[in-house]
Amino acid sequence: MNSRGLTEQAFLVLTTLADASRHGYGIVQEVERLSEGRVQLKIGTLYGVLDRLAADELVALDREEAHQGRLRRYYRLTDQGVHALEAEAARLAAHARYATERLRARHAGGPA
Amino acid sequence: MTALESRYRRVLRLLPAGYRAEREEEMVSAFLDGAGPAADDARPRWSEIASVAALALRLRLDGPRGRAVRLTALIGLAFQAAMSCVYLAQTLGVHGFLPYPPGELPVGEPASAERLWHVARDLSSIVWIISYAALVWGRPRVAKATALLGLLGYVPTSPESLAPVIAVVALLAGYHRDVPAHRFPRWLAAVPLAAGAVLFLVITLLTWAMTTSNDSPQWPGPWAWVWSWLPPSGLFSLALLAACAGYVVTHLAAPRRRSPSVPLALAILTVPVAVARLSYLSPAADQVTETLNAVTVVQAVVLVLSGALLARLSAAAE
Repeated sequence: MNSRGLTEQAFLVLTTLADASRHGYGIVQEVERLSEGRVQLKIGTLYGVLDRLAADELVALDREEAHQGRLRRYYRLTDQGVHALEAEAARLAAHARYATERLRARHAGGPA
Repeated sequence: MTALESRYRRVLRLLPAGYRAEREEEMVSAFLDGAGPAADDARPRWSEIASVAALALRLRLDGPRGRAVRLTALIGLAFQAAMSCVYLAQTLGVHGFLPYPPGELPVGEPASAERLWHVARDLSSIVWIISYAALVWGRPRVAKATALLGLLGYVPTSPESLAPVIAVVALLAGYHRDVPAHRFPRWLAAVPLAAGAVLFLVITLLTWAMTTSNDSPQWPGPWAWVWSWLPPSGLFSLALLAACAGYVVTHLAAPRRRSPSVPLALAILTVPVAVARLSYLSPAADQVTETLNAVTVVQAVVLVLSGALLARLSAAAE
């Protein structure tokens, strides 16, 4: 993984693969659901993200299946991808915790 | 194959052949899954086409071509930064901040809105220096923002703006998210400043020499051969031709230092500069204009030939 961390799109793609391997359109649907419709990945964008994640060895090809005569490739998280997702989730959770604590202090009349 | 599927396959032709061979089937499958039970005569949405075009651009800018595009941006911005130093020094000179008699007077009354506007406009060229320095120091976002600001100062229809436009397009296309952050040696940021200072001195001396020989009966005499080298595109021609000669010597003398990116970047830049030079041609009314036109045509022809040679050397080095 590069030193600049995960983009939101990459983070969401990794998250969709945390519990199951998924094919391209399956990832698109799951990202939209997880983000409550806010992030709608286009196919070109999705494959750009998958290429980056595969180059960083965070995702890998799981299997290929034929569906209605068309090829579906399923992707899965690698061990490195699991670590990267855990680290990013912890980082985001810490940020959310700091924000919540400060807002609580503000509402309680503490320093703004 | 349905009409929709064949349309998606046509869109995917934007992608490089090797990538398409690997990905086309699953991408078509993902597109058709997303389209659902749509009518066969449905068409790919523009946002889908744009996402494939963006992916295609990134893939094509990978490797030596991508490095060439990034070098195009770096060299183009370096030249703009050097010229900005000249403009800034000239502005300081006009306002009496430099120890030499001003050749021209500031526009407008002191402290007037007109004066302030011209000073602000003249000083705005500093954004090119910031842009170049930001790129050298590994801050491409700052470089992009300031370069776009710099373009605002150009008249879009002026052929002289072609080279900076190409440099900014290369900057926007070449430095995307997937490009590893790269910092050049910090001293590289000072090179255009030094070049700009030398250019300013040379231009000031030439202007002084021309002014003193203005009354000569032979005027303009040999100066007609010099004028075509003095506009920004003329100076850029000179720099590019020198760089081309330097690269050819390196190519012949040091085969290990051959690179596909450097000559390609120089070749790309010869195009806007040659076009900018040709825009100076004017109907020949006298011998001086004929001389100016002849020098300009020679500049453009040599630039085009150099560009072709550099492109060939780039292909040979791949």
